[in-house]
Amino acid sequence: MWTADEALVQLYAAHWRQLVRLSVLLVRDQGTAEEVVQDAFVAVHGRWGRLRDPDRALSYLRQAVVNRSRSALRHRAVVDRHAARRTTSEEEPGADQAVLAGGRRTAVLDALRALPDRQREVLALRYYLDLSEAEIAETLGISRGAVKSHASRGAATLRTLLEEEL
Amino acid sequence: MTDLQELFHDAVAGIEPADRLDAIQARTATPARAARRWWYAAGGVALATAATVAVVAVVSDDPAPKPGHHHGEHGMTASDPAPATQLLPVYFVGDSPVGPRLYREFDEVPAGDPLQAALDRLQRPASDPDYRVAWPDGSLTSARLGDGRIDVELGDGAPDLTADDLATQAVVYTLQAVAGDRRPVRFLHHGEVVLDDVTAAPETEVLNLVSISDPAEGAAYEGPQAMLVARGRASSYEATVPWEVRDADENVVLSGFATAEGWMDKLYPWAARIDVSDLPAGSYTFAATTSDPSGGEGTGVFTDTRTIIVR
Repeated sequence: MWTADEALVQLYAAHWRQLVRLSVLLVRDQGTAEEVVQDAFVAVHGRWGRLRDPDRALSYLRQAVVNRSRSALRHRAVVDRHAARRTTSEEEPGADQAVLAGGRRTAVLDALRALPDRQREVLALRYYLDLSEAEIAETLGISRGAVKSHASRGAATLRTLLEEEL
Repeated sequence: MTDLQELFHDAVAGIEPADRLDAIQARTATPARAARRWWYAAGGVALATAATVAVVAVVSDDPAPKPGHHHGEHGMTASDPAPATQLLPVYFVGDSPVGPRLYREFDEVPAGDPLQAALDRLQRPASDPDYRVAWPDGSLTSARLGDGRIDVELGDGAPDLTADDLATQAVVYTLQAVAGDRRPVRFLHHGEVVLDDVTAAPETEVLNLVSISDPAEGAAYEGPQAMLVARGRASSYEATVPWEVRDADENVVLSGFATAEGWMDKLYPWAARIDVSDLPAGSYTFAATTSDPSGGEGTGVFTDTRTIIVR
């Protein structure tokens, strides 16, 4: 049985990069993603006494990353609205940069941002982490039926948005 | 791989996050932390769950987990709190309805060159008492990645070998899994080639047709939400993998089945989540089997078992 400190090192070595990438799919910004995942690792360390099992720790980590990514987006939306009110004449950076940068990677991240939170989360867990329906349901705390419908609606929208890339 | 899978993976393939382990450890450090090399205290090789095997099962990556820095208060400078271990897949020999077959377990061993560590592990008793060691101590001396192959130097106690021997295949399967690469294995003795470029035999011919990756032998479960997450691989009729939990008197107390991702041509992953929170404290056997559509007329069922503890 690992101690919390040992578990932290093992989980970090195995999952840090993948979880940051998962969070990038959700929040887009790498710096935000690193913050989110760092917080999730601190949280899992604190809970290790109850988890005591790498599998359960990993599902807890995933859950923490998804939830914290969603909170980070909300927080950023508030900050952005605030900024927009104050700097009316300035261009919106997100859209323009995306057009200039172009490329498939940006297109995918943009298209994801256009989806409702749940659809984006379901798709990221399914197509990036390759989780099963049941695992996604558990991670998001929703029913398998809801996972199915979010997945099919999200995938349909995404395919339309990314027609050129597919 | 579907188109969306490819797109998602590509979209973030270029993301290389900064290393924040130190920052995380600074936030989680406690002043009085025992920094013992715990696996030595535990008497040699410990067994761990397979969940983190991806950390180390690739030779080209740095096998050792990054040693943590101590950020304790009171000016403590205890060093190296991180356990320098790695988790490796190792194949041992066990019995099956069709004679001896290879079984895989994930064993935690001290950090170091993974190929060499795997070779050492192959010559020591398996964690699961049902498995046997195919290689006497000293019969395998070294392994290294060569040019498009893996070279294994045999010791003087090595048995006579053919490519089809289960013992040979145990080495090939183990080293290929550790290397994360299907390159062939060449066996040498005093530099002379004994067996040239042995490839892995088909899984359905050498592996037991069902294997358990998790739980590890002796895994313990506790608490009102104790969930046994079982995983493994199987090639079982119609991809059905029946499982049961038996108490110390061999009474079946829980049973069900998992569905593998496929069957027939090779072993496919299966998984099951089993609520063990209602079981009285004690020692149990978790068994996964292949299904037997013949009703006992055929060759019989393949089984893999693990002892689990409910507290």
